[in-house]
Amino acid sequence: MPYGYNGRILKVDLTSRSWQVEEPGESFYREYLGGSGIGLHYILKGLPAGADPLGPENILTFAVSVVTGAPFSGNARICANAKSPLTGAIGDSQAGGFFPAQMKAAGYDAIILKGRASSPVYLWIKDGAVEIRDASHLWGKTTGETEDLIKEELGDGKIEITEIGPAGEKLARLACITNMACRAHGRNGLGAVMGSKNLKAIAVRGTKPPRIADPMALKRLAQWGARNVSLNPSARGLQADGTAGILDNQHFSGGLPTFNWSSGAFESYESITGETMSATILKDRDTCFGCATRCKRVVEIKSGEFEVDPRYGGPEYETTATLGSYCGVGNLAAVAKANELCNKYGLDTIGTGATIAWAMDCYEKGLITKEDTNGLELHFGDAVAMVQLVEQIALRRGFGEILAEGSARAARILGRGTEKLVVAVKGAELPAHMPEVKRSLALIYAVNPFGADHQSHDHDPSYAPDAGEMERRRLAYLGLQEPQPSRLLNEEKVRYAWITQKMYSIADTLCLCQFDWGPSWQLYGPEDFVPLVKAVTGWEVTLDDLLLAAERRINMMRTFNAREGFGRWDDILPLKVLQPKIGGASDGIAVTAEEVEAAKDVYYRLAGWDPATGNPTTQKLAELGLGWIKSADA
Amino acid sequence: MPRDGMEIEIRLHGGLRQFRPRGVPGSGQFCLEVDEGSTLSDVIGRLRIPVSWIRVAYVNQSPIPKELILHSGDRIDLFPPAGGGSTEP
Repeated sequence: MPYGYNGRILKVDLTSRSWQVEEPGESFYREYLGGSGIGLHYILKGLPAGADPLGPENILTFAVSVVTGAPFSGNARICANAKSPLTGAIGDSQAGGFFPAQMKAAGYDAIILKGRASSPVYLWIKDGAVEIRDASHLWGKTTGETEDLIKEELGDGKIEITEIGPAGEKLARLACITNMACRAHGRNGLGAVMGSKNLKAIAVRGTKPPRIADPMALKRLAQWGARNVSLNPSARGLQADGTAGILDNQHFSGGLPTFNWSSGAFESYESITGETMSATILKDRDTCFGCATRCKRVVEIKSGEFEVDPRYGGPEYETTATLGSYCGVGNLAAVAKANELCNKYGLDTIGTGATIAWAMDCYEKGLITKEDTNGLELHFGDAVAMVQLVEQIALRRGFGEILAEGSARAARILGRGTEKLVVAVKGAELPAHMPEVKRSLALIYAVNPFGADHQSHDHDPSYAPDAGEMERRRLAYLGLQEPQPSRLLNEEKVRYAWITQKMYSIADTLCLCQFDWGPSWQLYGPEDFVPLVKAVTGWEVTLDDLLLAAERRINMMRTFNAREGFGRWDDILPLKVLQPKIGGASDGIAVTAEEVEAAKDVYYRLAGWDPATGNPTTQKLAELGLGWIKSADA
Repeated sequence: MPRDGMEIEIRLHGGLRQFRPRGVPGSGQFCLEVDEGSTLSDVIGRLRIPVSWIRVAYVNQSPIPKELILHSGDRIDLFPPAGGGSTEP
């Protein structure tokens, strides 16, 4: 019986409503560690190129890691992977909460789903026993209703559930997968994949947490983290005001996307900050399994124009920006309401807010009219229209029918120059961190396999000349000792982006929360990863072993994309990022296509990929032990 | 009121709010009497905030070096490190 993990992977065929258990040996787990490492392995093995993301051939995976279920701060994540219906590339998204630990205790390290059930079902796993149950009475229910009904039906309030809402059922490409009705696998439209399989939910209950190789060492590590939350400025800030605590700093530095990426500053920023939330609508600070950071928000509004149910949590930074400043909406109640609707119906707040902002920009410029919007006037700053559109997108009503496709596809449907206003890479809308002021984002947004993503590497301020001593020491540990200005994208900055991308990729294979585990400002730093893995699994590993597993994950994703026809020609930024911003500290600032191309050349070289295609070579895959995958250049 | 004093506005953000003077509300927003000619460094020292806790300082919403002299009515925003903005003007 291994330490840390189960050694069992559940493979479910929803078409035949059958399943089997695979028991890969230790070498598999050492090679892939978990999360999207395991997910990509099964997807590359079983999913043919060109498959319809919303068809039965698509494979949807949920995977935890060799350390999931051990109690310490930042150890509560789970990865979902599939071919994305939004981008057509690989989809990758993590969620937190208590579901990951419960799934591990229920006996499986990963669940691999293929096929399509003939009618709505949900999967029920209890201490290794598997059942596929009828979910026709749950179809159409919100995420919260689904949780309540399943717990009642199964007679156990301690069950953890991951589910889709009506948006996923209706195959909205902006649909997410939630757990607890308020923790989300947000990006890449994975909720639509689950909906296309007629899979409403997965319920898990386990009484066998993983064995720990060195319980005393783990306890010391966990206690150190709990003590240091109040001593680590970032962790302390996250606890105080949540992720939205960074919003005012983003505004001051010219990096708060506003009016569909026209500006990096929002005059009404103060109305939507984490501090304002703490002072007004915050009801509670919540957390995930084993975590002392408590960064989650719970908000409540009992009366007024926008009533908000605390059951659906509270807005993160991305949400206050995408449904706030992107749309010009300086109204926290409206943003909180929109967040509640997104969680209730199962929509990605980033994609939804960015798509609404794009639609507003098109309307303001006269490219679309009331005829397109089903009579809705769409001006920046209109909080009521913004909230109405969220519901329309979730339920595919009115103008929401087109917007539910995401801004890139909606632009292709509408034409008329609306394409020029889309702010996305590979169809994934840009999150609220601006490459104009944190220049390494220009590279990572472009090259990241699952589209623009802000949680794939460390941002520039950590490697700026005036960064703090802790950041400097930790990055030096990784061989990064030449700080660079945040607005510069030179060779050293590309090196920083690549190395920290691998560190974040370790987090996504070990399913660790990137607010607590990372290369610089996080609670735990790079020197803590190896002791952690050793304490839980008993393995003697080095950081290089973990970095190799991380590189495997990135290469598998890149190879998946190559098989679908993606290459360096898709690693490009939207027009808005290349245009000068208006107002604030980034007034007149733009990224240039030339600097991105130059950075890509350096990046592909560091990654060992073909510079012409940007894709992994046969040689690189062989080096990583991935010779079983056919590379694009073979 | 100190002789030749001036009043400035301080806003402490995120985890820095724990360093607010006694009696100041939880929002971390307050006015402070300082000597004429005080610099940002003087103010940080007076509030006894560890230097490692301050990632970026803005005066009147613009980033400035810590040695710059402040003026009456200036608003100072202090931020701790977090996955947030950059410091360059």
